[in-house]
Amino acid sequence: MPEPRTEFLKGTLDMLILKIVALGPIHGYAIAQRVQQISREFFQLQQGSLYPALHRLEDRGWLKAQWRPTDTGREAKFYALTRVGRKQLEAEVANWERLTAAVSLILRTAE
Amino acid sequence: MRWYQRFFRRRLTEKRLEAELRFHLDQQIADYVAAGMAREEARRRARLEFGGLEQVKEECREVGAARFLETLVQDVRYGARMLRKNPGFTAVAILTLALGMGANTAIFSFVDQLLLRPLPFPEPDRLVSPCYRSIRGSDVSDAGMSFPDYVYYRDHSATLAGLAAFSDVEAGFRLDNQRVRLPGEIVSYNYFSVLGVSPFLGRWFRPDEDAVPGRNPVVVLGYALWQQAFGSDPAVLGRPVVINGASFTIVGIAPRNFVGWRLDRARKPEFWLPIMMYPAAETEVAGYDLQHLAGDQWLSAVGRLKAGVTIAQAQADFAYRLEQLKQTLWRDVWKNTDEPMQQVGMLIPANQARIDPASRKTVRTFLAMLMAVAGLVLLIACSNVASLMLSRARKRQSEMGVRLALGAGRRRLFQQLLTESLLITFAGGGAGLMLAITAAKFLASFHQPFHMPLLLEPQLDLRVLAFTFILASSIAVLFGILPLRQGTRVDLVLVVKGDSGSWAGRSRLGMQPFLIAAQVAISVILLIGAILFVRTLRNAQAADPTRDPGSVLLLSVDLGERRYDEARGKQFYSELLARVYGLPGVRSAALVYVVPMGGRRGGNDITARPGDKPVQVDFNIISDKYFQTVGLPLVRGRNFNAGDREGSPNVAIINEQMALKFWPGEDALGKQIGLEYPTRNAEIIGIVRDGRFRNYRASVNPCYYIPFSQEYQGAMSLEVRAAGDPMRLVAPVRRQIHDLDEELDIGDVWTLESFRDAGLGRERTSAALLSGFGVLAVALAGIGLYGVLAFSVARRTHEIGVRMALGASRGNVLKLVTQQGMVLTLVGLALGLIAALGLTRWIASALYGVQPFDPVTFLGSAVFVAFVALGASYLPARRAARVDPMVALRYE
Repeated sequence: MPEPRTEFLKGTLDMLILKIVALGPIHGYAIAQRVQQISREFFQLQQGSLYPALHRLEDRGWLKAQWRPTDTGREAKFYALTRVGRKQLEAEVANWERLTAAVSLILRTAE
Repeated sequence: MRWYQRFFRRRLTEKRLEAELRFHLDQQIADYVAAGMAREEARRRARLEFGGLEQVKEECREVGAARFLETLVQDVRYGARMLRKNPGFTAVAILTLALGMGANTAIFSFVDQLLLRPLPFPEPDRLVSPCYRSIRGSDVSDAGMSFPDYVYYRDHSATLAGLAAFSDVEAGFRLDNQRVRLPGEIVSYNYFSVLGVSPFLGRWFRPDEDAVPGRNPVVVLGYALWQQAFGSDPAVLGRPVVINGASFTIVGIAPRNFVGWRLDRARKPEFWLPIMMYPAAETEVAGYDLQHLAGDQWLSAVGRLKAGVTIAQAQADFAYRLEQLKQTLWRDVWKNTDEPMQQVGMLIPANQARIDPASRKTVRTFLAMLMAVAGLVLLIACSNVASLMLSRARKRQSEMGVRLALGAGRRRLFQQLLTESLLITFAGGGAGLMLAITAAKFLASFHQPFHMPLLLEPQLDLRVLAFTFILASSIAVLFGILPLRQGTRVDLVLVVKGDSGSWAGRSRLGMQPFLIAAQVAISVILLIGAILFVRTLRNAQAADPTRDPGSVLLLSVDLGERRYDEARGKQFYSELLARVYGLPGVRSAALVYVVPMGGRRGGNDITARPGDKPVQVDFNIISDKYFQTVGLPLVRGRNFNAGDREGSPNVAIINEQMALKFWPGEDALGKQIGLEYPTRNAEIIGIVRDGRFRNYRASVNPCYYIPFSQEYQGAMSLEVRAAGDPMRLVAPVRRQIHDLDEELDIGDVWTLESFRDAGLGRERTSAALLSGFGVLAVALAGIGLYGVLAFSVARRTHEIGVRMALGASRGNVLKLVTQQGMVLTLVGLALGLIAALGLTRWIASALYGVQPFDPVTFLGSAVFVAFVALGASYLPARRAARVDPMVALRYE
């Protein structure tokens, strides 16, 4: 088992998931793979926390799910972004950018 | 997924969750294998990375539940706050719901107990009750059987697997040196096996214990008696117990809750004796050979159909056996009357004969009336709740509009309104349950609410509670979520401005006026019913011929139980009277055979002139001071006195009716009448005022009285007129009786008034229930009307301001609003009076001394309701009249 690295900041996991799903309908395993690929260097995604997050986002109405066959022909649950989810993603991204800009501004000016 | 879908589609959800996670794992394993890992190792690694599968599943499941719970808590809090903020609304809504649910639950519980519930025995539908129907009329009644009748049916039936006989008995027990009178049953040995019950302990009777009169003193005790008197000691089997002074051996204990199968008795049977122990059990029949006497039909029967036999086949068989019986046994017995010969045998499912079919109809009618009343109350409750919810919906229209405008989800608002409505219904349901318990106890506490002894338990029928709860809550919910429907249609600009469409005026009240009119209609119906029954009760009480019956103490003794002979009995009674006269506070005292208004009467055949055909009239046996004691005035002649003794010439006093019937235009005084049993003549020495003696409905029959000194009866009632509170005399009188005979049981203690009222159970129940419901209904209708008008005034403040600014006087405004209320009321009253005209005919048979269409009652009820409505309209009207046009106009 790989060494645990930086934990996700609270709320960022949701944003990342929304971002990945925004690219097109995708099932849970593929989301996990994408998160791993993109963020291998920095983050450790506890796979167990991915699914509760997916279900939470679906429950809030940001994601919608559909069962359909994968390339191998097996049925899998594909997640896609809803209209509300897309707005939410935009809001969160904007918010994130304001936050990081502010934080780095503070870090820079404090030097 | 919606929370409710989650709720109902749990299994599917679960399967999908499993499939999703399984897919992830399998995919991961496949990838590892593709990367060159051994399959086992790949599987291990994948599982390890994934973490606890069950834990992940649980977290996924919690997502919905947590959100649901969180919002639920929020909604309940918010809802409770809203309800607290409107205590009037909340109280009325909860009370209304409770009333509707409680009344129906309590009353239906009695319907179920008395008419619907199947017998608590195995294969209850195979139990049948033999009945006789007179070919002269259509009246069906319990088949009374003598022991020989019973044996004949039992031994000759080809269609019954068993026929058992039984009768009620009451016997004096000595338990721990205390004497108590307990109700029980005297039964054939096969009674329990026909019903199909097994003893809790020990055994039932053997056939040989029910073969020879008085030979086998054995007893089966009821569970409750065994528990209370013997501390549930299993060792009581084989031990003796003293019943009516004789020693009986306890052979068995009946199962808990076993009370036989009949319901038409005042108290639950506590013990069972074999029929052949009748000499010890039935003191009144001392000396009779009931085993062979075919003329005394003292038993009832219950049978069990043979397997494969239909009730129609068994009935044909039974009817045939009855015809055989008429040809043989009965031919010599029923010589004087052909009544029994006119009967046809019938079998009725035992479940429909738990109350003697002769009385079942009365019980059914009464229960139907109660159910109808409860149904009306439920209607009122529902319309009131609907109306309340509507008013609230309007009040909250702007709140909803604002919340929607601020971005609240419709689903979320729906959930919140739903929660609020449910909060009210649950509170109402809880209160309804308590009300039902109270109402059931109240009903069961009435002495003989059905004019007959019935075993009534204050039990509740939960199905009805559930039914009424679901009905009331769907109405509350339906009308509770209305603000949402209307809220979405609201013009936000208007809402925010605080103007919710005042100019739309009346039409916006929607269905509320109909609900109010319906409530007024129902309340006037209930009020009319209440007045009719209260007047019936008053009239019934007024039919009592005695004077100031509340100060006459009444107690009964039966010397037959103590096996007194006539000489000793007479001596006992004369000594008792002398002693009672010596007590301080006693004005007068007397003995009487049949107590007035007790539902019984003595009947005897008399001949007014020698050679006439005997005619049956009422009779009673009394001691000297009886008429003085009860306050019935003597019209002519003299009272009995000490000179009328045994051996002196027979004398009688007759009532006015009898004088009129037998000696019209003549003086009855000094005439001789011929009496039967034994045949003798008696001289008429006095004429007394008429009075109804059996009950208030009985016609005034010709009646004669004979002195106790000339006709002895062991069972007499003692009546003592007290100078003050008659209850203060209870202890001294008891002491005098026990001084004379310590072992003698004294029955219940009454006053003449309480005894009379006890016989008016149905009248009192009807009067009390209808008055209660009637007053509540009127109050609810008044509150409903007030609410609607108050709301309408609040919304039309602006309009009223304009009207006043344009010159309308306060009086005009007052009239405007009051008129609105009174129009609704008049429509409701008209509907109610018309409906009442149709309905009261159904209760005509239960009324006394008042017509079902009594104009005074109808008018009075209508006027009363109208006044309440006027009051309810006046208050909001006054508020409207106080509107300051300047303020109202500036408001905008």
